[in-house]
Amino acid sequence: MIRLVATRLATSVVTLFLAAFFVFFAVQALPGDVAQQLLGQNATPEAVATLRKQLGLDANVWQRFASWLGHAATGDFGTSLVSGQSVSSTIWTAFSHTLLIAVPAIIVGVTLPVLLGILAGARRGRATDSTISVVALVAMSIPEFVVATVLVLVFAIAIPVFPAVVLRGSAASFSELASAAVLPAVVLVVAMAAYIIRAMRSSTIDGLATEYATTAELKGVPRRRLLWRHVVPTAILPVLPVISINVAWLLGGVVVVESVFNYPGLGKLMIDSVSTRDLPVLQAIALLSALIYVLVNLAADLTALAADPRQRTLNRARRRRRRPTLEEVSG
Amino acid sequence: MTTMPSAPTAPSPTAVVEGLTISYQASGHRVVVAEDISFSLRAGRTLGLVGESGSGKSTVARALLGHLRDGSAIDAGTVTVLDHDVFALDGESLRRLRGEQVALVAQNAGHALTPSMRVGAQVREALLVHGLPAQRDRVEELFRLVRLPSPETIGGRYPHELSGGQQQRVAIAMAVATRPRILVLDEPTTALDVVTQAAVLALVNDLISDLGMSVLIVSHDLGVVSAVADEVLVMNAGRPVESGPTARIMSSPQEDYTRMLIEAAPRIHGVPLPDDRDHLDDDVILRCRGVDIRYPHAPNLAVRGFDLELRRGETVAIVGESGSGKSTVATALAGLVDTERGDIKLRDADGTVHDLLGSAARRTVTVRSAVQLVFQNADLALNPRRTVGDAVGRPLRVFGLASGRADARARVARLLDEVGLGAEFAGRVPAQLSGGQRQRVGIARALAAGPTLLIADEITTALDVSVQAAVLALLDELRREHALSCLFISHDLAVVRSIADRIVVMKDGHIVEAAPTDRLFTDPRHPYTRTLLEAVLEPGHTELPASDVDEEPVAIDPRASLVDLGGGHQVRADEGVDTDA
Repeated sequence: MIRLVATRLATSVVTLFLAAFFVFFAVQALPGDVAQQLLGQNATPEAVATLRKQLGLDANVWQRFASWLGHAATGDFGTSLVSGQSVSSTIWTAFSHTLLIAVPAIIVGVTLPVLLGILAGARRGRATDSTISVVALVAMSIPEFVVATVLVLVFAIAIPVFPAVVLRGSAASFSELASAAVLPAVVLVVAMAAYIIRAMRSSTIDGLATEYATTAELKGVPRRRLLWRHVVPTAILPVLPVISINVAWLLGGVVVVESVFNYPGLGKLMIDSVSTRDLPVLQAIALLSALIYVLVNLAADLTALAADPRQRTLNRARRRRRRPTLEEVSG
Repeated sequence: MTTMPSAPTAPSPTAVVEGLTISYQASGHRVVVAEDISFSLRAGRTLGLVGESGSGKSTVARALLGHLRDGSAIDAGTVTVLDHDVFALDGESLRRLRGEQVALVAQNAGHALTPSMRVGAQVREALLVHGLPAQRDRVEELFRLVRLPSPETIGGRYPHELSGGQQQRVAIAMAVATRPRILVLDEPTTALDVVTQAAVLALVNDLISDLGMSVLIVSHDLGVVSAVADEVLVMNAGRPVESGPTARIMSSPQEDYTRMLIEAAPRIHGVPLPDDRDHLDDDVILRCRGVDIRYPHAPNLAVRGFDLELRRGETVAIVGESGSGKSTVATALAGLVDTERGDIKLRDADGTVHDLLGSAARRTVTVRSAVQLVFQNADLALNPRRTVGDAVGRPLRVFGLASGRADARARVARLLDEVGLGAEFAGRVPAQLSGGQRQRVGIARALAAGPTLLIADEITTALDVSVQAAVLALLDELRREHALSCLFISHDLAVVRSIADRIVVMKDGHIVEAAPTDRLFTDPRHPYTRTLLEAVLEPGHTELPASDVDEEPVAIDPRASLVDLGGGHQVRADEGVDTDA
């Protein structure tokens, strides 16, 4: 068990290192010279050379990778080429804004769909199930910018409860942001809910059809207890990857939603950095997204380990008979 | 309608089923699963419900718990349990009936126990949901009752950490926890080895007399039923065929169907051995010497020091429980797992000697076609989207055995004829075939390659007894016609008795005894062979070994070696083995 967790942690570290490697060298592989691009077409060669020296671009690429990685490990991503401020603090501000949307969205967007999925599965074929399934399907097929626009029309313009956009950008105060975060969070919940509901529904239906569910029913276990004690712990397993992918997507890629609401989060910062070619910021954002993906998947795997006693003993040495396939024999 | 003969002193019935007819709706028409079934259960008595797959016996059994499959409905008749019509009960009363008054032990405990719950918690739950005291010592007492090892701690384990026999004991403990009046056993031992099966049935027998329950046991195996049931009801295709006291049904069946079932059941007494095969030449086609097999990354060897000689036209059976290494030998010979040490030589039809070490991918085409494997589960071994003709024709194409399409078609037709299917089956897909027919296709496919050695890995385990008898007869006929050498893997000595020339008994990866078939049955030397023989259940056979026979350790001395007793009889010189010739 401990070995299993340790192995899983080690894989995460390796994954992160590889991500850092690719992020760094992808930026290196970009065509053109960074200093040249920053200074524009009319820059004098001397100015370009000075900037290159200043940015450390004349050093060996491996050396630069090592020092960038070393600094990144301590949270130092250098200074922004555009604002001149520290990349870490810029990103941290934006990320904390994103978290203001993302954390409530994750909490609601995971628990609610899981519960709805279980409910729909348990009431298969009845009105509850059809309603949930149809609404989920509709929500799934509408792009999130449309959902966002509709919500703005209804709740910001027709009934002005929430602000439609954040006007003061990153200078906005917490209370301004808090009310501005509601609509984006709702959009994100709607966008991710559908997948989780559908996965959880079909998994619950499969779980209820198993022999152990029938056995429990025939030993007199009440319906509710049957669902929660016997079916859900196993039925949640195939849904965990769906949840982790959605959560990671939500944390890393709220770009569209933040753009629609002009919300000063990480996605907005990324778009701005792309348009200004602020490479240190982009590298840091890419690495942060990778970190989030790795952490979320790690969390999903550890939850699966906790929920499924069979996985805990999988690495224990035991004879597993391998049933050969047909093709291996006849061919 | 059938009536149960009842002694004048018989107690009043605990359950009465009368004229029960159940059907389900399928694509516009009604399919009758059970028709006009009547029986009653009495305290302390056991009724056996016997039939082949599709006879509706499980459906009838589960009706006692008020359970029907989705889409099924009662068309006629009543099920009365303890004076209540179970299908008229409201939800809460039905829930209270289930588990408290009528309890079920399902076929495969590996699937019937919830994987995410500790077994102790599952037993405790059976008590809790019926408002019964569920302290730790009550659960422990139940584990002791079903004779589970270390009852104090085993409750903390998860189902996957237990053996098949232990899982079934947990399921039984769970069912009897509430001291139900009626116990329904739905094929309780079908998924178990013979030794475990005998032990579990002995346990069930003990519990019935201790707890005074009414019992309904459902099985396709007349041996199982005659070991535990007082009365028998035989079903065929949803209809009652015959019923009466077990001894009467077994000794003088009135209906042809019952007679056929009894005759098809594998047995070790009163059946002739395979006819004398002294005509066998001494042409050894397979020789294994000191073969060690290990699965990748496994700490222990799966098979250790395996020796075998197989002559042309001979059938050798390898018998043992799951985990004994018998199937590992089969997969190694087929080249699906690597051998670690030792020597395997195959002599093909032309007399050329080949090495059979290493994986199939590294073998020459000749060797691959010379060794063919038939799988246990024909459902999984046939591609559901390919026709039977495709499946059988594939080896012909792969090994270039047919000259052109017309020839291939003709050969496929001939092969299908040979396995008793007929050429018209070539266009069908596996879903349109029965289990026995699929297994015949598997055999035809193996024959298509023109093998020297045919390996049959538990090929009849998933089949009904009547189908099993037919497949065994087919295999024997083919062996004779083609001078095939056959390696037959099974966990049941009774199954191999009628077809094997020699039997090799394996336990924990070792050969413990090897002898000509008659010698093994008349003079078994190793304690494990004797245990296997005692565990065989035949129709009409009512004795069972002890209920913990499957947990008894059989001493396998790692340093012991096989001793030759003469006449081809070898036994491993473990403790307590008589090695006098």
